[in-house]
Formats: sequence, structure tokens, C-alpha cells
Amino acid sequence: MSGLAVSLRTSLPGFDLDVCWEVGAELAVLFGPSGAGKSLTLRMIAGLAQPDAGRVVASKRVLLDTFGGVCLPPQQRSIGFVFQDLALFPHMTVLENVLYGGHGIEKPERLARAQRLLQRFGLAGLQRRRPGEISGGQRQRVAFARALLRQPSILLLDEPFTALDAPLRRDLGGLLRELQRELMIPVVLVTHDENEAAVLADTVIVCEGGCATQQGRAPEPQAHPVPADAKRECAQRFLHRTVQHARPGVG
Amino acid sequence: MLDGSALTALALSLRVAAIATALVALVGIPAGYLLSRRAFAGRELIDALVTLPLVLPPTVVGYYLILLLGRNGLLGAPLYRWTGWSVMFTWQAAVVASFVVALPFMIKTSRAAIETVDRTLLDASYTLGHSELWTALRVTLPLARRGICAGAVLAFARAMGEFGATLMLAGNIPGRTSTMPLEIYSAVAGGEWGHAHALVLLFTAISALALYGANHLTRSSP
Repeated sequence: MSGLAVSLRTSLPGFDLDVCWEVGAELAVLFGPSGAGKSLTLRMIAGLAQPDAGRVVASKRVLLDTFGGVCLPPQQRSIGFVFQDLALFPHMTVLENVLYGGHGIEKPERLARAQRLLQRFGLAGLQRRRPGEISGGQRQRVAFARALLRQPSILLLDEPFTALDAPLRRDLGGLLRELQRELMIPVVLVTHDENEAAVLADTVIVCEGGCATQQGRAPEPQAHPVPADAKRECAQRFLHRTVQHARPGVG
Repeated sequence: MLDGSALTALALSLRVAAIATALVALVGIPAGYLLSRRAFAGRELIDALVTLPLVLPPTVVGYYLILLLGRNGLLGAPLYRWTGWSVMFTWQAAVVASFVVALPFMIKTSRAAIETVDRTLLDASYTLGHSELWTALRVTLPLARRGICAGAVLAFARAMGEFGATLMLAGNIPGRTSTMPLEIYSAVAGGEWGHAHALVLLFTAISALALYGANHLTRSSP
């Protein structure tokens, strides 16, 4: 069973981060207001920032353990990361961007995989375009394809839908759910959008002021709106509210 | 008006400037990269040190180079003992002089260009499994290339125009170390106004062309 266990503690000027949560091969949403430390948490999981103390285990592989002296560089963590501004390479074509995500894979295999992903994401005709020449939704899919080419063991997404309008968000959210079911890896999505959290999440982790304050299991949108996990009342109340909120959009 | 000595001087200047620019790029781009991407003790001190030739009179730079490379110099003395060769008064000395005065242009512009590359793109490259070196070659430098090219053109122009340090280190030996600026100086000093005229026009045209090229590079699409 692949899962992701995260416990991080760090002190920055004017901000303390202290989070501890665990998710399985599911779509987890880190939800909270801006400045709650969500993005920083993702960056620390990916190895792009270092906590004062912490431990990150992905699929039984220790990526970070400050007490055990383990701190793998981002290159070795096998994590797919989709950045808020997508971070597509502006000087490369769509195909080159996706291929760039295939480090360590034989060339023919890399090309075959890239073609499959581009096909799958409806980008087949855009291979030779630059990121600046395609739409926001298409750029988003390119970023997904690039992050997935290496078949990472976790996928992290830092508010990837911020720049998109509502219908596109829904489409891409659906695609993300579909991908998660297919790959069966932990997918962690950061958002401050209540609806997004309610609609997409299997699990919601609520972040406030640098702490993961609540964690709860989200019901399937069609299922009974009351969450099953009775131990986390706050989370339940939160989720109940958001699910109710989101219902009209979902149904 | 453009006789053999003028063409010799032009050929020598072009050769010296081209080799100096190649060396400047070889040293300046990695130096600019390290200064922009790595935080280490004394970083700004090193930056100031390599920028010094930009503000010092070239004769002062030339003087330091004599102390370093002269037959009794810090590096020059052992070199002369082992090989019997000294760089002083050779065309290679003109290359060294041009290299030192042109290097700050390359380091300054490439550092600035590399600093403007979006940090997130580098993070993206790292999470995709690529090393820092590969990321520098495939992402950072290509995205900073216009600034780097402009720096190289400026360095070339500065190397072409080098006079003071070259005179100190390489002398003014007709046909051997007498580059365009030195040739112009000799022509004026000898009262050969027609010769000086032609050399000056030629030199101005080449410099204008180089600057036009630099502008073109910095404006063209990414």
C-alpha cells in the first residue's frame, strides 16, 4: 500500500510551521487560507525547502528524517510537482517540456510515453507549440503530463487551478480525480477554494497558521453527506458544511 | 590609405579580441552563474575584485599584470625559469590584457541575466530529476542567453579597444603587438594623419557593428 506520511516542524521569522498528517493512495486536499503554510509544506515534501525537524515517508521510502540524518535531494524523491504558475519552460516546445520530465528513461520509451500522455490529455496537435502559444487549460495539461512522465510515487499540486475560470477548473479537477484512480498514488492538492476541496478530496487536511488543525475523510459527493470518521468532529463539521455548500455545483 | 600595416593591425586586433572573448566567456559565464546562484562567504568581495578592472585606469591594470606576469613576476618568474618563455611583449600578452579588462563586462551582465531567470523553473527541473549542472545547461543558460550574448559582445568591443594595459604588458611592436588602438596612437604620434584617419574610421565601423549586433541580440524574441 503506497502512502505518504509527513511530519514537519520549522521556525521562520514571524511564522511557525508544525504539521503532521498521513494519507494513503488517495486524493488529499490541503485546505486553508493563504499564508497557512500549505505551499511551504509541499516544498518541504519535495525537498525544495528544508524544515528544522521532520520526517517524510513515501511508500515506505524515507525521503527525509532529520533525526536519522536522511535528506534526499529533490532529484531523488521521485515526486511529481505541479507548480502554481506551472513553471513550464518557455524556451521549449510542448513536446520538449514533457520529454524533459523523462529523466533516466531510455529515449524511445520516453518518446512513446510522452506521445501517449499528450494524446490522453488532448494535446496531440500542439507538440511543436511553445507554452506561450497555447491556452491556460492546455498549459495545465502539459504541466500534468510533464510531472507524470517519470511515473512518480507521489503527485503534489500547488494551487494549480488558480489562473483558470470555473468550467476549466471543473474539467481539470475531474481529470485529476481520474488520474489518481488510475495511478493509485497519493495525490496532494493545495487549495484555498472551499468548493474545490469539497468536490475533489478523498481526504481534507485543514491548515491554519502553520498547523494542520484537522483531518477528515470526505464523503463521495453522491454519498451521505455525513463523514464516517467520528473521531474528528471539527473536520466533520467543516466538511459537512463545505459539502453542503458545494452540492448544487456537483449534482 | 589602408596599407599593409593597417590590415596587419586589424587582423591582430580581431585575433586578440576573439581569443580574449572566448576566454572571457569560458571564465565569465560560470563565474556569473556562481555569483548569482550560490551564497558563499566573500561573494560580494569577489564580485568587487573582478569588477575592479572596470574602474581602474588600464595602465594600473597593466602594472598589476607586469607584477604578476613579468619576467620577475609572481607567476612570470617560475614560468620563465621552467620554459625560458615570458609572455611580456608577445601578442599573447595583448590577449591577457584584453581578457582582464573585458572580463567584468561578461561577469556583470551574465550574473544579472541569470538572476532574472525564474527560480521556480529551476525547482521544476530539480523535481524532474535533473542535476544542477544539467539544469544550468538546459534551462538557466538558454533563458539567460540574450543577456549573456550581449555581455560577450560588450566584452569583445572592450577587448578590441584595449590600449593602456596592452601597451604596458605587450608593448607596441609593429606587426607583432601593435593592435588597432596602438597603431592609431603611433600614426598620430608620427604625424601620419591619413593613416590615422583610415584606421579610426575602420575601427568606428567595427565597433558600431558590434553594438548593433548586441542590440539586435537583446531585442530578438526568446
